Amino acid sequence: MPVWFHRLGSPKGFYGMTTPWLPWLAVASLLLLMAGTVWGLGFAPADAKQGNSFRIIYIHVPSAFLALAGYYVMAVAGAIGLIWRMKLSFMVMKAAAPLGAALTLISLVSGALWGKPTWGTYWVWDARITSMLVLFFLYLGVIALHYAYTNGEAAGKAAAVLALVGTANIPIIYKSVDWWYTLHQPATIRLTEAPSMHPSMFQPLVVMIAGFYCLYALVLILNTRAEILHRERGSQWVAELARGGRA
Amino acid sequence: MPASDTVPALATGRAFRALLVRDLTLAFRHRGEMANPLIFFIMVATLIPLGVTPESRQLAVLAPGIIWVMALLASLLSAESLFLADYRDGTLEQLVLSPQPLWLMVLAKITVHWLVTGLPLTLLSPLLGIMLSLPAAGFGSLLASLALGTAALSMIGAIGAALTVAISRGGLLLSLIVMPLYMPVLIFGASAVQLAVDGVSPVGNLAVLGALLAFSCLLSPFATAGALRVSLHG
Amino acid sequence: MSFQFDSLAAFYAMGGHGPFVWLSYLFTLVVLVWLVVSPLMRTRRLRSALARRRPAMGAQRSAAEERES
Repeated sequence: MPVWFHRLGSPKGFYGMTTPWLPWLAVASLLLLMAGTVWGLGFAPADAKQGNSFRIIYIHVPSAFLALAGYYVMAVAGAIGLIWRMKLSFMVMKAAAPLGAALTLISLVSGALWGKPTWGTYWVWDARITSMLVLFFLYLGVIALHYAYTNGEAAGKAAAVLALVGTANIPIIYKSVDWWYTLHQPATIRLTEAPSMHPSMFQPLVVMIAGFYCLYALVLILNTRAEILHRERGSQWVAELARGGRA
Repeated sequence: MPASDTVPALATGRAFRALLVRDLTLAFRHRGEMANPLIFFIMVATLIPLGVTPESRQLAVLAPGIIWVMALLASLLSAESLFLADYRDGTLEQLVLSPQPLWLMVLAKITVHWLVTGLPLTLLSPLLGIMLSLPAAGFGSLLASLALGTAALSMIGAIGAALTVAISRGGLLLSLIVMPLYMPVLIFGASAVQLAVDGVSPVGNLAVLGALLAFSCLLSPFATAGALRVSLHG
Repeated sequence: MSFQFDSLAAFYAMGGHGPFVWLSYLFTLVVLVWLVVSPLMRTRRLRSALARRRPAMGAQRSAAEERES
């Protein structure tokens, strides 16, 4: 195993390794998100049918993407923690839960605000949005489990079990909600379907997705670092850090 | 000297049966508690006409979904009792520490749980069908879907029960974490009944329910065993 | 690629969809900012709490804190 991998596996090593990454991630996120926002809001063409409310897609799709991907990040971190008993992995998982929940919330709110001018109502029980709502509940369950356990280590393991069970269920949930929706509604235009998107609409979307990814990485690392400081606060290296030393 | 040196370990099959019999006996001793989810099931069926409409034709439209949602809620209510009593008197600890494979012991407990909650619920459902004006075509599918579905719900609920058994007032948390996992079962169960009412064959849906049950039978005993170990030993 | 609106007022109005579009972006901005700021604040609180306790920090005291966690 290469040295850097071992270093990465220890909380102290992770903390030290990620310190120089932060400014780069911050700058990248900021630039990508700003560029994508300005492009999407002002320079991309409006949709022929939906008009300017279409611009919400530049928020809705990236956040939905990352909300789903984030759940897998959380579950994989939990699995690694369970299999290799890595404390750090559990800390990453704990950081990923509220982050994913927040992104899911953004996706739901933006979806609702998109729905009102488009379909006339804030809430539509379409397959994608309903699946997003269920994903939100899955995240809340993992977060709630973390809080309910008083022992931090047990909390991580319990949450990891739940996250893994949720992972096995996500495809089932998505498929069944999808099926349920087509059963009850004739094929209508799906809210996030844009198969025939013009490149000029698609490009700012890619920029925004990239920006959201960078921000996700940034926030995940920041939260993991905070958790590390909290859990390792009794240790020597954290004490030195607080005293003004370098990590 | 540890007890296992002097007392021969029970053969696995016999241990399974012993646990099954023990749990069934205990459940029947507390028949009153068994009745609670069933009474809930029927009472809530009364709420719908009171709160929504008593009109027969409208109830008929809603009946498949309502009965299924009520069955789901009743299952949720009873999920907490799966491990709680044993946790409180220390039996659960013994079970986890015993040399028997924990997943098999868990399977025994879940089986009894279903026999004592899900099965009575299923058998009671035609009564609700009558009360909520379910069209005659739906009754067969109602029984079949609930038989398969409540078994799957028992399996899934066990995971939540195991994760929350050591938490005070864990019942609410259990509902929260288990609800998303229940949804596919609900979707296919309710629509199986709806399809039958509409004159379409529900066999496909029932097959999916069967598949969900099989999947949960595979996943749940192990996940539940792991969750029990985390809950009890951290 | 050109600016899609005739004027800044038109940009705000977004063809009548203004409130929805701007609310979406604003809500997202607020949440994303909170996501970045909250761990930074937590880290700062942790570090200052540790720095304050520094003079009294002995092996016994930190062990007691570990038990409290």
